[in-house]
Amino acid sequence: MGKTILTVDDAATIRKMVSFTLKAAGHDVLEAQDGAIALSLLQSRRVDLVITDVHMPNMNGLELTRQLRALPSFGRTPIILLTTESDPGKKAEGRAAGATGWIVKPFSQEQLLGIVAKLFPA
Amino acid sequence: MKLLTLLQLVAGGNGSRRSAGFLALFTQLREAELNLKQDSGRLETQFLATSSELERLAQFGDRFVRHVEKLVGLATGKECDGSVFSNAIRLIEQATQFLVGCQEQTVQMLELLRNYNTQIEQLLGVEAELQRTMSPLKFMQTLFKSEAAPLGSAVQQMFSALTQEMEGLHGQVRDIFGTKFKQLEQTHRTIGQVIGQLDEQARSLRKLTSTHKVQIESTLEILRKEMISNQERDTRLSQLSKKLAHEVEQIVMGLQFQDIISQKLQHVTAALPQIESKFAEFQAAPNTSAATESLQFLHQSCRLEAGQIEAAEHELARAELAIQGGVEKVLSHLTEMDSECLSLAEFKLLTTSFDGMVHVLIETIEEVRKLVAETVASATEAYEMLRPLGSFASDLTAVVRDMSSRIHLIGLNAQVQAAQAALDRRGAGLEVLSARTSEISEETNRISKQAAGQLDQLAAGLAESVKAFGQLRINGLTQQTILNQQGAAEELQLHAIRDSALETLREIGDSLDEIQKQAARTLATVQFSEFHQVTLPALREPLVAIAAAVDQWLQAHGSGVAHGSLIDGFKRDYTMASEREVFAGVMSANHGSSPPLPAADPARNPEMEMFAGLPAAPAGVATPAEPKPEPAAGPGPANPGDRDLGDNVELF
Repeated sequence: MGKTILTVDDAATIRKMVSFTLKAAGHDVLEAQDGAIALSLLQSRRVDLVITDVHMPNMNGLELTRQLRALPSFGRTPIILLTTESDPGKKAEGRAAGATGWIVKPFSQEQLLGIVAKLFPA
Repeated sequence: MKLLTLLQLVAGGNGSRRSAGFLALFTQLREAELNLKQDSGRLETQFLATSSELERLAQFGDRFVRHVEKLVGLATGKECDGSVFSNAIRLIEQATQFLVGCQEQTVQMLELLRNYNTQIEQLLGVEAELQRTMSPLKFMQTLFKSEAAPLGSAVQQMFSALTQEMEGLHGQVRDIFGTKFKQLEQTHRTIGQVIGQLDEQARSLRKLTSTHKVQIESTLEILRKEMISNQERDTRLSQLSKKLAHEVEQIVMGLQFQDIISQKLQHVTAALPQIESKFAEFQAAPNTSAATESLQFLHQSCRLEAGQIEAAEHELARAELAIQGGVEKVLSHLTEMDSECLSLAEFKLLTTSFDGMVHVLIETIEEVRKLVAETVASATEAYEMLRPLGSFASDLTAVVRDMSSRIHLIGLNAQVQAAQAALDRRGAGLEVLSARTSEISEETNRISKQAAGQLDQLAAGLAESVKAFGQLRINGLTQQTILNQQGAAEELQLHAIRDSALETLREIGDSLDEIQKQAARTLATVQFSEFHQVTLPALREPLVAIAAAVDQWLQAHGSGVAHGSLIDGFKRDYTMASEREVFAGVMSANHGSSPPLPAADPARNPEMEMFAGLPAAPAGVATPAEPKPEPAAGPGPANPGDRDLGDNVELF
């Protein structure tokens, strides 16, 4: 069954790629171009998964993760950080912020769908 | 001013000229930076346009693949669980088997019927024998009358009654032979007629069945081969579909380089103010030592940023090639799929065609149905013709037995009468006559009993035959019902499949046109070369020139390039592994003049994997690597479940 997934990235191409890949697999996809917009959107929408970039203007992905984890309704929602960042320190920071997983760009559609499948086994 | 001139000016000129040269290089650098900002926006728009067009192309491709899969699914029977084709084939095979059985049974029946007619012929021979045997009885009657005349009235009456009985018997024999045996002759003719019809039917059935059986078997064989070939086609299409998905995936990965390059360039542009600042420090340096230190920093940082830009140029060039190549391959795979479908469509003209396959099945079912109907009609006719014959033969047997018993009684009576008459000496002639009458009646009785036995056999045989024809008729009717009901259902489904296949073929043809147009639209958006061939080199070249000029200045002033960590602070900005690798290359430089940047090891670089098979990077362009992501930091092992997703994916 399709999930509702929020993709957060300041790069429109990445949002489109994530959205196109997930929609083709039957999921509903919402888009936000930074952490602040995502947070605002999530006030009114429930999602099953958040996939967010790390480096973004206004509010970065790590801060978004921290703020979502602070909300009781997002305590268990998986949050995947999708980034060009591969520094172990940053990854540890993401983990400490409450992220569920980490994908380094460039990612393949198979990897993206694979991680969704692992998070939501049929 | 040309870079070379500026470089010469900076390297060889005196203080003010050198300073002017440096300033000119920095002016060029600033202009290039401005252009970069504008062109970056354009590049992002182009990438976005490419991704939008790719999305549409992928949607068209998906629809096309679904149509192709549906068509091949229909042709292999997969779309309908294979039941329609296999049921139709089974139906035809069953009916054909029934017809072959009918034909064999008809041949056996013909043999039996011929035997019955031989028996009837023998019975008709019995008629002549009986007539011959009984013919003296008429004469005997006259003799009885004449011999009894001299005797008393009691004897006369006795023999009168006997002769009347004999006359009655004669009458019955005449009746039997005149009517019943005539009817037997009619039976003989009827059976002959049935034999004639059945013979013809058997011949025709044999011919049709053998012809049709061969045709049907060959058709079924062709259909089976065709289905196997369609299954192979299905496998090929499935492989093509996977390749198609792979190409789309490569394009999707290629498109992510916009983000990767954009971030790299952000880091470069973030470093440029520091370079400018160092140049300002150099200009304001109070002494050579301070100037040297500023220039050493400038040397390292310019080389570093030039290296990052060069890496970006290279990555963008290869991403462009990957995307263009991917779109072309997508188109090529779809065209290949289309040719598979076209070859499938071409089969329409052949008997082995998909459409033809359905047509052949429907036609064969119809032919088999006709043959079964003819067989049923023939069996019914034979059944109707033979049914009264069995009871007639039984009736005749009863009549002959009755006649035989009466003849026997007359014989006995004659003996009794003769014995009584013999008491009178004048009755000696009667005794002789009675003895003869008794002999004739014995003989007649024997012949009649034999005929009755034969008639019994005939009646029983005919009854069996009638029963067999009745069963054949019932089986035929059952077969007919099956063919009518299941055949009609199969026909409907086969027609529906054919219609669906033709509609799908039409959709495939239409969508391929759309795909070709869409692929052209997509390719038209993949135009990043100005960015990696003009915009980025325009930014890199002043940096290289500044580094080279600084290098010469330092050499001229007896100071070498720095080998330390003057630019160590830059490291924290490098979020990507490939950036850190370029950085490491600059940091590890340890010889006197500007060292080349380290060549990347493609095997270590996941980004490089997607470019496999593409032309190498332009000569002289270093290929910075995006090393595999480092293992997850922090306590506890990474979830082993995500290992199969690749090294760049980790679930905490």
